[in-house]
Amino acid sequence: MDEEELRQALQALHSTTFGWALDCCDRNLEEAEDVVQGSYVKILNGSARFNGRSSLKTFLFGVIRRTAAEERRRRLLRHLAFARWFERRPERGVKDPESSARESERSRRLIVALTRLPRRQREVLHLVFYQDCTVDEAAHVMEISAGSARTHFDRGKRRLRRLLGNLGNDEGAR
Amino acid sequence: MTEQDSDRDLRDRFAALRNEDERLAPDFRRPVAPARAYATSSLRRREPPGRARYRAWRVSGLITLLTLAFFFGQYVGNRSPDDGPVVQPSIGEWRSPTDFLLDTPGRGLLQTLPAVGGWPPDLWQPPSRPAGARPL
Repeated sequence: MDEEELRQALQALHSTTFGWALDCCDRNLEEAEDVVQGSYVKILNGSARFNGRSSLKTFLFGVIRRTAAEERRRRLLRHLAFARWFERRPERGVKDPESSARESERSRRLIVALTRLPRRQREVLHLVFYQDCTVDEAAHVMEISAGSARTHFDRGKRRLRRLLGNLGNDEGAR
Repeated sequence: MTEQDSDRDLRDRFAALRNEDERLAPDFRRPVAPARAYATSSLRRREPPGRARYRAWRVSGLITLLTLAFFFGQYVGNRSPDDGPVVQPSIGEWRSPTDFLLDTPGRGLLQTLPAVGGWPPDLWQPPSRPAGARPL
């Protein structure tokens, strides 16, 4: 696959890629943009090479996930090392008011419920329901076995339903 | 609500979220332009880190091998021809380093064969009786 073909394939997947990056960055828009750009750099300069063993989408999502994890570690270290000199950064998972306003009430409830799930459960649910991946593809992206992915998927689904139910009841009570 | 209904509900919720996220996604050219600039810059000519690491391992392995070969050559070269071949003693002459532990008191006595009537006479001497004592 030459660079032009790769660029076109990346463009076709851009919006779904951004959705996955948002999930990997705890819905932080700015961080997600950085992660997407970092992943494109890795792919275009050849440090992450697509060898055709999986679909491009699975490969790209794997790169995004790894880049987001690197970014998280880097930010954490920077935060720990220079916390005294930098002003307090916003909490993870908290977005700017503009984007919050754009979300419908239903989506907001889903996001709140998702942030209460463990990362693996959230990732597998996102890949299956949001990205229409199979559980096996999700396992490939998350670099875990298919059995583990299925377990995370089942547990996550049960927990998400319970959380959504609780959040619905809370909203109804107000 | 059945399992299928519940799954469908979750799928609908995620689909709605996806539609909203699509509006938040930046234009494709925004993240790609700097990425392409980076990829076409001189930095692109740099080797990927994985390959550089592999090369470093190969070079360090080669250096280790050469060092070992050098020291082995030194060792072989320093051996004098007068040293001659090392002569190993035969098994009949060989002595264990802990052989001395077998030198127990009375070992000589155990190694002699007593002859009838030839036992050391002092052992067969009846005890001397004090003067004036009555025989048993």
